[in-house]
Amino acid sequence: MTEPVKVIVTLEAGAPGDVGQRLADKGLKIEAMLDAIGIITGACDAGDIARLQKVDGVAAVEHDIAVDIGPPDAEPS
Amino acid sequence: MARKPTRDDGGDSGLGALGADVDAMLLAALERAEAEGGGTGEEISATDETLTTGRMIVTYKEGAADDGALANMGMRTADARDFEDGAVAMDALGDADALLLPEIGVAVISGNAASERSLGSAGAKSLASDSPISVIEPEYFAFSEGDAGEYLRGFLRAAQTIEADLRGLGAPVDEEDEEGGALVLGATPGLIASRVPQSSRSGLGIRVAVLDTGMDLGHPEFAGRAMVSRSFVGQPVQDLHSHGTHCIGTACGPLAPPGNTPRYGIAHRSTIFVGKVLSNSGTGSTGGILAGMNWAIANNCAVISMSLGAQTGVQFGYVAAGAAALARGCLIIAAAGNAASSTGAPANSPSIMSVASLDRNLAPSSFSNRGKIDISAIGRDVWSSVPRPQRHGFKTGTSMACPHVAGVAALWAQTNGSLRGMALWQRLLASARPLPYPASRVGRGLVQAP
Repeated sequence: MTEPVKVIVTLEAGAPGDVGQRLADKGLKIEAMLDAIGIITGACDAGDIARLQKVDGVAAVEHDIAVDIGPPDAEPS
Repeated sequence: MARKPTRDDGGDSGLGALGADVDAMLLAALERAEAEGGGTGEEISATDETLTTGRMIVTYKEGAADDGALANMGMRTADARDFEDGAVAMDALGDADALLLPEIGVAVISGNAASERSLGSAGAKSLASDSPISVIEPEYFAFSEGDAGEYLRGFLRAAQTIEADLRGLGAPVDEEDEEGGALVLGATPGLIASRVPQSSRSGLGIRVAVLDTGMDLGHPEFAGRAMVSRSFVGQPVQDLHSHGTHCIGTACGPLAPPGNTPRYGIAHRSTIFVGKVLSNSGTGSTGGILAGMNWAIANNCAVISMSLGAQTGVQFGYVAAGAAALARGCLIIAAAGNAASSTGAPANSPSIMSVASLDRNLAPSSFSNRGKIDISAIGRDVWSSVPRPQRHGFKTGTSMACPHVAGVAALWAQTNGSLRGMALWQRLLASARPLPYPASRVGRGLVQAP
């Protein structure tokens, strides 16, 4: 067991319809299925990322990263 | 859906095919890099010159025409002049092996056709001296400034030149102007620089999504406006930060705010889709942002404005989302970032338009990121709406330049129902006002309203 991490799973075009289930079977706790852009977001143990990457129909598994609006306009008015 | 062809599809519809999407080729390149033991597959270095697309570029000798040279090698060739609008309709090339771009003396050859004929980078040496072909080189991805980066930009320029020729001087095919003149005195410098006050367009009928910190839903200058909102961060849409309200003001604010307030909004009759993907502290995560993008695309928003980012390399997820958007006639426009460094994600995605910031004197802002820049707009000291009780305020950043481009994109989208997705992207670039700075700082120049 390793630390749980949030991940972004980008699917290939024509990914099998049950790819979500098979990702779940490999340890992905699904947060959202974003059908319009072919992406599934969720969380898994960091050690499971390599296994998720090998699931048929998966193009990439990336870490969810922090995003902001950046200086110089980051301060609320 | 990421448009990556399945691995077993074999033929020329696969990777390296003329019609292959940039993102699909990117994914393949990353796989190659991984197979070679380089890189983690999570990031692409903007300076990695080993990233080839699998396609080859043929450059003809000066003044030489193809004269069937590629056909003699047994290739099925398509000619850019045969396309109705000269757009980069790469997916309409069918099973062609090569696309001729006679205007610039270049042809693009699919990976399969090139490898079948052993046209590696050394292939030029084997060319007969009387061949019209000067050199055959691998095609590179364009992420950043530099030799490789100039290629795709040049390709887009060539397509636009062809389009302009076909249309005759590139005059926009405007439909009837049914809204009458709309010359407004007193507008912000950003609107004036982009010639917004002179435009009779309003963005009527165009859905503009702004993915940000939300919106002051009770702002009096947006009373009665068509607005759809949704939060992806577990907080109400109501903007307690101010960044989102400011960006929406620029992209979609009113034609004539009350009192002495100058006009600060561009697509003043557009339908506003407020996606709250950043919390009231101005932060979010890739997952929530992708969820917002998915929502805006599923709702067919022709323009999606994203004044947010992270200083990372290219992210698969954003590339796929941008490609999905273009395929559905949606254009995603993102701020390049304010780190005075390389363009961040998502703006560094080849499928997402990247906006740099200009100062009021039209020089690139010192903080504005550089490298993968497509277009620019004023981003310094921008006056727009903020939540009550202040109602208005100044902000600075590529975040402020981005909604200028989004608002102008909505005006262009209104002029012609065919200006969607990549066609809208090309029109924005083709109509931009050139500036005397490198493309890596200002892209094609200052965005201009129709």
